[in-house]
Amino acid sequence: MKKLLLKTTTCLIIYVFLSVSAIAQNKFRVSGYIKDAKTGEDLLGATVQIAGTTKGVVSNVDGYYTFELAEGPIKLVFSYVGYITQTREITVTQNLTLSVNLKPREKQLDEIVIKADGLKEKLNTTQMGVEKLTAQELKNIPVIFGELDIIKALQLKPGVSSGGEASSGLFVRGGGPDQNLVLLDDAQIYNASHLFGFFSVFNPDAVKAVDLYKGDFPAQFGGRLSSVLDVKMRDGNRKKFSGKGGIGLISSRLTLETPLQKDKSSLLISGRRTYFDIFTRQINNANEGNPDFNRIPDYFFYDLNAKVNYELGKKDRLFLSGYLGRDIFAFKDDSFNFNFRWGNTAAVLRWNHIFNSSLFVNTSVSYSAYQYDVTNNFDIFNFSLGANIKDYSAKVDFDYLPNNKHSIKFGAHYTYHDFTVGRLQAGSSDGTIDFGNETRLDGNEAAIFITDDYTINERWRINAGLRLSGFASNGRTYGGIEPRFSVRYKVNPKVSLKASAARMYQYVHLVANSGASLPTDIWYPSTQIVNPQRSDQVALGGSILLFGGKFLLSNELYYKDMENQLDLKDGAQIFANPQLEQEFVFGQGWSYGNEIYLEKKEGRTTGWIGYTLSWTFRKFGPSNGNLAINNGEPFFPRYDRRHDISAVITHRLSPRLTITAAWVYNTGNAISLPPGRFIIQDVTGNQPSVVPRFQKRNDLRMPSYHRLDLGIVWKFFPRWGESDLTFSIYNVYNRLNAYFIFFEELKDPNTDLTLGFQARQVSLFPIIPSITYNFKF
Amino acid sequence: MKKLNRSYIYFAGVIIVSLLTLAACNNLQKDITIDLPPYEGEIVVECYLQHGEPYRLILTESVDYFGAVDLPPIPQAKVIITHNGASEELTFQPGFDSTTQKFFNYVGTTIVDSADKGEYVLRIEDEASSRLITGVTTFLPAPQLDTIEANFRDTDTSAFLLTKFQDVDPNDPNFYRIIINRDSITGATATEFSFEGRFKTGNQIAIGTGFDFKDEDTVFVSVYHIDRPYYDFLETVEDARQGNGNPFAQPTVVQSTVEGGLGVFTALSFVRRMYIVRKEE
Repeated sequence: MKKLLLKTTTCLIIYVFLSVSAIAQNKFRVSGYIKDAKTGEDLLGATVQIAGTTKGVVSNVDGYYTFELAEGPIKLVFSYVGYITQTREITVTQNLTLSVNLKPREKQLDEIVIKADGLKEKLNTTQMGVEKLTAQELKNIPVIFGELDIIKALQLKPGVSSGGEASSGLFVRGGGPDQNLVLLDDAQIYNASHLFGFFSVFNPDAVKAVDLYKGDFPAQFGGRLSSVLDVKMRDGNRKKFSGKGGIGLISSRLTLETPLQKDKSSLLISGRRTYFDIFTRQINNANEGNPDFNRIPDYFFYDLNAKVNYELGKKDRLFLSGYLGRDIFAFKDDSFNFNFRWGNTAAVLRWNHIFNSSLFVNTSVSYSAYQYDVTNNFDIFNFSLGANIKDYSAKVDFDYLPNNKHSIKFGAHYTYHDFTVGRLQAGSSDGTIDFGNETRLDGNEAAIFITDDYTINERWRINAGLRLSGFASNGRTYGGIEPRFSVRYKVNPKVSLKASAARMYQYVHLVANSGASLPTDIWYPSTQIVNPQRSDQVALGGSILLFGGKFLLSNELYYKDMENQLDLKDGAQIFANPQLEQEFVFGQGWSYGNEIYLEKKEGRTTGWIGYTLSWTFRKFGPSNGNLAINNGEPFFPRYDRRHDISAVITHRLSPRLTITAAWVYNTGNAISLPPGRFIIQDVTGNQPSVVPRFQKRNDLRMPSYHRLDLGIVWKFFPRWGESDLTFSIYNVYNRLNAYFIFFEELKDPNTDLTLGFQARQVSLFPIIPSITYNFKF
Repeated sequence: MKKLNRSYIYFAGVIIVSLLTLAACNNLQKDITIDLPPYEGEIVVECYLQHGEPYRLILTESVDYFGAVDLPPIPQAKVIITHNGASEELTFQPGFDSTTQKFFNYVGTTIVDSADKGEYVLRIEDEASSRLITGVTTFLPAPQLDTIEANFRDTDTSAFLLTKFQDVDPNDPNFYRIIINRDSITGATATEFSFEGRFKTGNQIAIGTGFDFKDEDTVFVSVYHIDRPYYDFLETVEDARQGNGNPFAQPTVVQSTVEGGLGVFTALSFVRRMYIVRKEE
């Protein structure tokens, strides 16, 4: 396997450098950084265009662009949403560096006309199945309790569903919650939610850009089947000390940033914390001494982000970023001390080096971990339980642009995974109890890749890539060849057709024993018994610019096949189980659907409407010595949605006032309900009980879900900076959507005899207004 | 451990309940009508063989969830238990055992001897509906109880119990069930759960309860040594119960210890001790 990887790498690198020979005569390269003139931060996705033409390039994540131009005078237009466009006239006689600082529109009091360049770029690119989220879009979208949430905003895009009311789950094109590669500045985040999935871990104030790939995965990404959520943190203000924050109903956040060395380096520190526990402690204190009162446990979560960047020279930059997030649930009294904490830790050191204007490299080392720990001390006894995964990664990514027709990326990734799939320890101070166990596994995951975005001519553009991946764990080695391909055919300047195919391998798996994502879910490597998951996804699509380019209408049809899916047998025991693999059942999955998306990014009224028609299936026959699930017949996972509609409309009433409405409709979740029941008396007949007789998995549906949310952002411009009040109303028309359904046993209160049974529906959130105060200085 | 898992699921449920409470001004629960798929009733058997007791079981039928409250008995079935080559056909004779407070409707005369480790084979034929249920069980060695200790909290009079017993066979996986009843063996159940005996100090297993007991409480502690099929039955029954009403739980298909129907046929190997909770001065 190692030899194969080595040979293939060599071949790919030779191919890359042979293609350099195609450099045209009398052409030179103009390159540089595009930055925010006020803060010195890099602008990702800024456009550089030759005036009067459609030829242009877009800056990368570091704000860097490079453009091959013919010798002679030329006029370049630099633009970015929310910034004043700049035009530079230059005469190209040699390779030159041209860095540009774009000025943000001051206090945005002038009438902003947001150029729809983003739509043109979407039309032109070969990339399919990608959703990008801007800070402004995020800010305007109304959310429950006013808590801005990246993942909840992404759930409003076609092909992405939540899995349940107010959940931050991410289910992409029929993929499971563990099939998303979630990256924060290139470090993997294993559990991207707080409070059992109600809030995501990303503090919006610390985030620069969000890309969600639903298919057509670029070759530099791998390791998950269904999506890549690439979140980039902001770098921090390089010009002056500044800050931003917000005070909400359930949490507050504060971000401070300062130059360490003006224009060369900066530091950003950002934090967020909830205050449930402050209120519950007050309630507990007020009831001190009340014998009928049961103390309420403390619960809170927090996120800390930090980032330092330093410009070593014109060609070298260093970035150090970190994240620490924890959920903490605790209960303590005189003799009982219970603690349950879980969360992610991540740290990345990245070195960006520019060899020349056509070749640059990003090298990074990172650490990421997810863990949960339960500790319980009472009397002379103590007990602890936990599991974790720790990753130590190194990667090197090259970007090579030999000319304007080719954009080549290649690189290598390596990760050492350290799994503690179960740890339990119990003891007593008198030594009469002392037992425990720990099951540890490890794995080495590596990949090399190359991809070329090749513009053949005005009409044809292809992106061809190959990723070779491998995984070794406890004497077993797996390899995967992952071709990635997409093609775009531009019918005319307003219409493009696209197609893509991608294979993905996933070598680590989430072992979850409930229908919802829990912090106690365990990550498990591929082993002798557990094969890597594999998916093949194909997509066909087209985009058309309408009404003078103000609207973009896109359609994508996809089919995804998933092999070696993992589930748990009924009654599985996953905690501290040294034979955990015996609880697994293996099977297949497949999904297909069509996504229609209409978006408008220009003018006072912006937004989008998305509709997805899709089917998702899973099938688990008898395997691994365990019974089949659903008798081996295909079934819908609970997040299967036949119809999914979302409409988000933002209207700027005035420079100070913006109103947003978001409406969602989807088919109800697939659910299992027991068609029958029986009674068990047990070994003593004192407590006979009704046992639900479940038969088919997820053969029924909840009622359809729909909801309207409204948000109003009211801006203020005090002398010291900017602020706003964000009002949001969740579930405006108070639709009581079903959260779950259960069957209640109706009893005679006097005789305790059963009278009958009744189905009941429970809803979670009625209409919920909220207000958040945000500030920036 | 399964218990722990459920604790987290319960915890998640508590959060949901809290949120529901916060929004109490709205009526967030309502009755609905559900069209369930057609359900064909299945034979349900519950038969526990116990030392010194005759063969006795209850045979009923499962019903539509919203069907009649009372479960239909099956009076015409041919119920045979075979042990060491001797078969006895049980007769339909509904009754109530006041000691265990259990109903039964088929009885035999053979008295069960737990010292005999031979197989017991159950065969139930319902010719009217052409249904057949079979099951096999044997007596496992009963566990040996070492101690039961009460540990009192400093601040009040509540105590938890710590039950210690020896793992029956340290070389093989063993499954146990502990039940603690108040006042009598049919009194209110204070503690009940099943577990695999993997966590031991030496060869001793220690099982604790919550601070659920007070000075002078009388309890009956029963520790059962159960086989894997019965353990799976108990676990899946509990998961099925959780699946009806807890959105975080995965609805589970009950795994019976019998073939062809629902329910349990097992031999009870257990140790039981009466214990009076006393605070030592």
